[in-house]
Amino acid sequence: MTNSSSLSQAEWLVRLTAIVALAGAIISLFNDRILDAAALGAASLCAGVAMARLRHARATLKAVSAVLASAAKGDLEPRLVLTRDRGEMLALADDLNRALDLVDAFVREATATLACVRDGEFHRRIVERGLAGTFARGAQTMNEAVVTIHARLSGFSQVIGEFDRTVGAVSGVLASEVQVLDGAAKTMNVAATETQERSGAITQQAAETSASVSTVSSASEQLTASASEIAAQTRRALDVSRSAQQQSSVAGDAMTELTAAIHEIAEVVELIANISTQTRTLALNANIEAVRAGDHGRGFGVVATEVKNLAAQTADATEQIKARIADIQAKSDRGLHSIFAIGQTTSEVVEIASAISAATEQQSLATQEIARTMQTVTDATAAVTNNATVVNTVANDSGRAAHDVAKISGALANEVGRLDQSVADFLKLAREVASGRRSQAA
Amino acid sequence: MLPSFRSAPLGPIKQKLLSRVAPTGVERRFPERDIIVSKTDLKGTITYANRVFLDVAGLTEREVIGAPHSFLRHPDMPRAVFALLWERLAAGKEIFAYVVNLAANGDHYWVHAHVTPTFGASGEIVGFHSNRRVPHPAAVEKIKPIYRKLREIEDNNANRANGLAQSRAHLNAILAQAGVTYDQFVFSLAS
Repeated sequence: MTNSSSLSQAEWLVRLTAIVALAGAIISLFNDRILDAAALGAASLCAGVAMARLRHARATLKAVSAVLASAAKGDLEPRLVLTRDRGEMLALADDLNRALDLVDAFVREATATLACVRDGEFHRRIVERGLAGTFARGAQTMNEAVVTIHARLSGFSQVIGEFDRTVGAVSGVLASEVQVLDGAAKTMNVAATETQERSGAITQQAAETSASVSTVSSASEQLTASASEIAAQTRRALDVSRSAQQQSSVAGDAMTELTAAIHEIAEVVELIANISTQTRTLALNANIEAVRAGDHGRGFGVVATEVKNLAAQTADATEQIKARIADIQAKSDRGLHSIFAIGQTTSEVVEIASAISAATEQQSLATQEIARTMQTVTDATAAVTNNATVVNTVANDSGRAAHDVAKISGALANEVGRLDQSVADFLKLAREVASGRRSQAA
Repeated sequence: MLPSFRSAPLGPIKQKLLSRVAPTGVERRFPERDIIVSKTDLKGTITYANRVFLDVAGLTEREVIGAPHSFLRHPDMPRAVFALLWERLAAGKEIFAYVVNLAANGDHYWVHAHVTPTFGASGEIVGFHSNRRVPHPAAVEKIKPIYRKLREIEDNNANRANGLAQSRAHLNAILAQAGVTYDQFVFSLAS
C-alpha cells in the first residue's frame, strides 16, 4: 500500500467498499431487513461500477505514460489516439499530443532547414508560424543563424572571387615575369659569351696593334735619321749655292767693268778713225796743192800720197779693231748674260735648298710627332689590353651570374607553378566550402 | 477550440459520404498560432489527427483514423501537386505546398502544408507527417490562378495520365521561366 499511487489506493478502497457493502447487504437480507439489504446492495453495485471507471482511467494514464516514455527515449512518433474518455482525461491526452506535435514540428523544421544549410541551400527557413514560446525563439535564432551563415558564405565567396582575381592575376604576372627573367638571363648569357669572345679578340688585336706600333716606331726613327741626313746635305748644298751665287756676282761685276773698258776702247778707236779720215782729207788737199806747184810740189805730192796711204791703212786697222771690239762686246754681253743666268739659277737652287731644308725640318717635326703618337698608341693599346682583360673577367662573372639567374628563374617558375596549383586547389576547396558541397562530400 | 462531438463507430460510412460532399464555397479559417497535424502510414491511411485538424475539418477522431488522407482533397486541387508531393516523399524528401482542403460539410480551408517522411530506426520510411499552418493570404492569391490553370489542363484532357503529364510540364515551365526550383518558388510566395 505504501508504494501504491492514489489511484491504486482508491481502487483498493472502492473494492473494499463493494465487498463490505455486499457483505452488509447479505447480512441484512438474512435478518429480513429488506430495505437495508437493498440500500447496501446498491452501494456495492456503485462501488463495482466505480472500480470499472477507475480501471478505465488507469488504462488512459498507462497510455499517456507509454507515449511519454517513448518521447523520453527520443521517439516523438507515438500519440494518444481514440482516447475513450472525456473531460480532464481527454484534455490530458490532447495536451500531451499538442506538446509532442509542437516539439515534433520544431525538430522537423530545424532538421530540414539545417540539412538544407548543410547541402548549401539557403532558401529554406524554419517556418515560425505555429511555433510558440521557447520554440518560436529557438526557431527565430536558428533562422537568423541561417541568414548569417548565408551572408558570410556569400561574403566568403566574394572574397574568394576577389582572391582569385588578385592572386590569380599576381600569379599570372609572376609567371610571365619569370619568363621574362629567364629570357633576360639567356640573353645575358649569350651577351656574356659574346663579350668574352670579343674581349679575347680585342686583346689579340691590341697585341697586333702593339707590334705594328713598334714597327712604325722604328720606321719613324729611321725616318728621323734620314731626315737629319737630308737636312745636313741640304745645308751643304745651300752653302755651296750661296758661294756660287757670290762668285757669279763677282764675275758679273768683272764682266760689267770689262764691257765698260771695251766701250772706252771703242771710243778711242772712233777717235783714231776720225783722225785718219781727217788725215786722208789733208793728204788729198796737199796732193792737189802739190799739183798746182808743179814740179816744185812733186816731192811734196809724193809725201802727200804716202800720208794718204797711211791714213787708208789706219782706217783699215781701225775698221778691224772696231770689228774685233764688236765681237768682244757681243761675247762679253753673252758672258754677262750667262753670269746673270747662273746667278738666277743659283738663287733658285738656294730657294729650293731652303724649301728642302724647311720641308726636312717639318718632316723631322712630323716624324717626332709620329713617334710621340706611337708612344700614346702604345700606352692606349696597353690600356685596351688591360681593360679587355677586366671586361673578360666581368663577362665571366656575368656569365656565371646569368647562369645562376637562369637556374633561379627555373626554380621560380616551378614555385610559381606550385603557387598556381596551390591557389587553384585552395580556390576549388574554398568554393566547395562556400557552396556547401564540401561538407556534404566530407 | 470549436466544440466537437464524440460519434458512434460509424467512421467508414461517414468517410464515404464525405467523399461525395459538394463544396459549399465557404472558407474556414483557424488561428495562426495553431498547426494542423496529421500522420499517415505508408499507404496514406490516417493514423493520427490532432485536435485542430478535427475541429477545422469538422470530423471526429473515429471518422478520421483509418481513412485515406486523400478523402480531404478539394476538387480545385491539381493532381500535379500531389504527384510532385508523393514523388518527393518517396525520395525521402520534405515538401512544402499550398493546399486547399475540404471540411466535412463541404467548406474549404487553405493551408501551408509541410509534409515529411517519418523514418524508422534503420532509416527506412515508415510513414508520413504533415504540419499545416495558416497560409499568408498573398501567397494563396498568387497560387490560386496557377492551380486553376493546372486543373484546367488536367480536366481538359480525356486521358488522365496525359493530363497529369501536361499539367506537370506546365508547372515546370512556370518554374523554369522564373529560374527557380519548386522549393525556392514556394518559399518566395510568402515573401
